Amino acid sequence: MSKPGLTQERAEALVAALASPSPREREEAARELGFRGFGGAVPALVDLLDDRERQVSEAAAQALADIGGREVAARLVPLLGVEKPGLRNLAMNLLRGLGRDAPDLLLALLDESDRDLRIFAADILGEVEAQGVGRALVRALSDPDPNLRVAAASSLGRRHDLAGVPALVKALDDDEWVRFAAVEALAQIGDHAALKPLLEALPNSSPLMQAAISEALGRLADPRAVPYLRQALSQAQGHLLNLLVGALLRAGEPGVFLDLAPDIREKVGLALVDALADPSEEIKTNALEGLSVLGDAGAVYAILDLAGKVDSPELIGLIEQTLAAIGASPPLVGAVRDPNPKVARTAATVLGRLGGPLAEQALTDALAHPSPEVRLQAALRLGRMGFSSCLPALQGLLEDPEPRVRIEVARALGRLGQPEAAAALEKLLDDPQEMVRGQAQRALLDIGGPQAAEVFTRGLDSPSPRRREKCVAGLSSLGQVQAVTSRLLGFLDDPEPGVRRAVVQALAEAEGPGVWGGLGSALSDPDPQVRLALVIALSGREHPGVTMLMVRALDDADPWISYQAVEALGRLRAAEAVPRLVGLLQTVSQPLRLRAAQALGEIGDSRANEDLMTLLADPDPQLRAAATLAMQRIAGGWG
Amino acid sequence: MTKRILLVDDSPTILNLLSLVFREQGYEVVQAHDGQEALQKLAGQAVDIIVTDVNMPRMDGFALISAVRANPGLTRLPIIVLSTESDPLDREAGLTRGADLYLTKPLGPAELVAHVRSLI
Repeated sequence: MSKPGLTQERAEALVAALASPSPREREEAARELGFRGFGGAVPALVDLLDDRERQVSEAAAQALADIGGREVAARLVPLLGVEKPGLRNLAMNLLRGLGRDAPDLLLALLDESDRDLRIFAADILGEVEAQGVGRALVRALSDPDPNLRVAAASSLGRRHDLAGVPALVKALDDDEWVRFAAVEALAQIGDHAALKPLLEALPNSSPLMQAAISEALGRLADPRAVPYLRQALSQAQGHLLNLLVGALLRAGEPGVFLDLAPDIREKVGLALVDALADPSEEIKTNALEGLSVLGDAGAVYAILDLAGKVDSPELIGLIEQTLAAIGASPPLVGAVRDPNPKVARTAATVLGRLGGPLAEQALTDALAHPSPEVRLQAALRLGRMGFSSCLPALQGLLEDPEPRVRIEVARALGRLGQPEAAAALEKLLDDPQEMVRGQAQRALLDIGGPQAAEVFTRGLDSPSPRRREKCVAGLSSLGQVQAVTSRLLGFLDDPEPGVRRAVVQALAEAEGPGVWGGLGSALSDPDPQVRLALVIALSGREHPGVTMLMVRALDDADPWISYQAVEALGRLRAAEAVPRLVGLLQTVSQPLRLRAAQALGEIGDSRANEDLMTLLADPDPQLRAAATLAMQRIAGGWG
Repeated sequence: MTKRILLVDDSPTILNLLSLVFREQGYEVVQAHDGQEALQKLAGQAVDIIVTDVNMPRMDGFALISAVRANPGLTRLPIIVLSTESDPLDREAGLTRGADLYLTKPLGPAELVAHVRSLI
């Protein structure tokens, strides 16, 4: 059958071109004939499979695959008997795809007297989905030629043919090559009915067959295999041992290694170490879990070696867990100096978990590692472990070029809580990175006490606005504002908005002469962030002065600040603010009107009723609802 | 020093079996599924010996032998053909192209290893 668009004339021209002296023309003609599915070209295309030019024979093969059908298959079958292996192989390949169009022709080959033809047919039938193929392959397992039996077993495996399992099990008593092919096929089919025969064959087989069976058992991953595999461990050596361990890891929990005899444990440990080099992540994972159970310190170097090669966070986490479970510090102590940062970082992490004097010294040494990742990890772990002896080394890193390291060092110094670290942290308050300055401030707060207060107080005189800002906030957090109130009032004119913001936040908590006047002047600060910080800081405080300032803030040019002030007045139930809040009910900002109505309800003053009533005619249903609710609250109907 | 062996066979079963045989004997195994893949592997790494099948897709064993022998750097690399074809014509074709040995399957593992050892 050909596709439309191919005239008889064109078809004849293309078939003629298959005999052209030009390889290019032959190739292109073959391609077009295949594309158009022209069945009339099949004989010529089959001839072209033997073309001396490879591109031409490949084009002919592709064309025949495109045309397909029984006729193509029938013409290919005789090529299986030719002496040229290249041509034979092309035919075999094509028949693997086309065999379903003519399975009877291939099945008939299994009865040929020529053993090679029988072998080729058995091989091809592994890819052919057709009735009777499975039965024929099972029958072929009884062929007198072992190579045919190997081919039949392999094909049954590739077909995942469950019906072939009993015959394959029987083939476990055959010649070694056939036995091997049967084991492979059973593993490919994956039927657990094969488990028992494989397990029974395991102890009495040659090391080679044991290896093949172990691999197969690993693929079946059936926990019932565990006792047999464990039994086989005792005699196994070399590659077989690795395969048995791999099969055990797949078939059971790592705990299967727990109660092994000491000599077998040692062997298994070595096999697990070998498994760390397996390309499969699953095998590596299982091997690490196995090594965790065995707790063999000799495996630490191999595990660290693996740590230096992997990037997967899950695997790195498991490596750390395994090393911690093994709990051998001495090899890790050397590894923190490893030039590979992944190795050194892993060692530092695990030492941090293990703790102890060895860890303390090694982590202190690791603070000098060329990799910031390692320095950072060492600082983190030292801080968590609470080793104060590392204080000088940590302080030495406060000028580390890597901001993440400086942050971690500051955090560690804070955790250690040693007052003598306060002075060292002071310089970080000038750090160009906000996150470093913030962490230094938090660390000083963690240390606390007079030393931290001194640092912050001294910082008020700093020419650096960054430091002034952090020091004002620090004093506020320490509750030390009262002592410096007058100085802070002077900072309300600081050229840096960040400093003024910190000052208003600090003063909002303070008492004393000039405080409220100063805060009132801050409501006129040119920077809206300063004004907003003030309103938010004051909104949590109950003081008569607050209401007055909040009422003033209702006039702020920034509606968000006014909104915050409305909220605060509602929360304070400030009756003196009612006239101003009533006024806001008519403002243009819808959110502000809504919030003012709610605040009036919270205050509960009946003077607002009349104006709230007018909102009931407002087109905005939310506003109408808020007004209704507010009036109900004023009337005492709602809390 | 560990010897490296290039095994070429389109059957994963045979390739797996041969790999087990030689790994068990301490060889480092490189696998290829046809002649073309074998040539690619040879371009990337040195091997001590090739054991190849004959009937394979893309490039058969005989074509592989010819290609290897055409490379001046590989003229002395030992090659063993391991085939199901016992026809004397096939044997002759393999040896003429430059194979050192022509063996027919099935062959006992110990015998196969002994043949390999005799060549390297």
